[in-house]
Amino acid sequence: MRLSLRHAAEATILSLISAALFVGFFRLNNLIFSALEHSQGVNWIFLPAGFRVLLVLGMGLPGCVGIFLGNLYLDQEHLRHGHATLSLLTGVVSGFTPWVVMRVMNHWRMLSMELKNLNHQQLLNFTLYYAAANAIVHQMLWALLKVHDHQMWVELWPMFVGDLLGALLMLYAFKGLLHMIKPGFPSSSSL
Amino acid sequence: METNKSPFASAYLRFLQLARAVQALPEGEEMDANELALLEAVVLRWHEDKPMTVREAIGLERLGSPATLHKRITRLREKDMLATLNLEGDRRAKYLTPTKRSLAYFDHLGQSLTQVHQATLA
Repeated sequence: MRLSLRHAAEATILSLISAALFVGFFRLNNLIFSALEHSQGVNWIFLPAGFRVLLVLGMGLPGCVGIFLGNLYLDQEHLRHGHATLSLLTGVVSGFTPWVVMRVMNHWRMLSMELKNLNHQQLLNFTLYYAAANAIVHQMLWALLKVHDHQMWVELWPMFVGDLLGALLMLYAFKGLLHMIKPGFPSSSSL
Repeated sequence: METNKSPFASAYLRFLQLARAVQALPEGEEMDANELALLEAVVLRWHEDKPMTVREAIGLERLGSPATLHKRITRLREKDMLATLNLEGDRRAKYLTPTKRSLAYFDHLGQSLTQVHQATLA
């Protein structure tokens, strides 16, 4: 019992860290790339998408819960103004789509849920599938809920490109950071 | 075997796996086997204190035609694996020398060889 309480506390802390990082990068993205916003919630470069990849791969389910909570925090205005269903479901889609993609890839033996023997090819495949799934599920949800002014087939592509570019930017920024922290020559495959 | 890892331990181990995969992400600057063969030939001559000129390098028939080798040298220079040097008193000859990046690459290969050797002995 003591062990499970400790596990729950650790998972909660990881979720809160995940939520804080997601919200922080959402705000940072708005500051840097606001000019590239295609429509509300759809950006040609979306850095938090990259953070979703890192958080979900790095933390697993607590990372997903954190992204969900972060989305709720960012959508406070919508929650207050009677769009609770939209905000909740957008949060669920945002937080758990990468996890579902992981499960599906795990089912097809393309990725281990524990990231065992993860290589860069699997990481890039996951990023691509996640960006596609995230854009499709978000757009389907907004079409089903009849979000005002929403045009599914127009917004699908910017969202896919934005998520993919944002994720790749974040992954390479992470690579640069690791290289700075741990200087030295990278693996032979990178030359 | 203990499989019930705590969320912190699990996150840390996942982070290590993720970091390893991220570090191996391609940078679009991979060398192919032909470029590596040319780089090795140039660096060996430099190591023997007889740096190779560009003219000599494009004359290495076993590695390709002069036009092909010239393109290969250009690509290696763009990848910061080769540099050129003019010696005092002879402005016509352009010598090829390794860069910090290419020396780091050979250093990395040397370290890997040592690790494999130690692992084999252990």
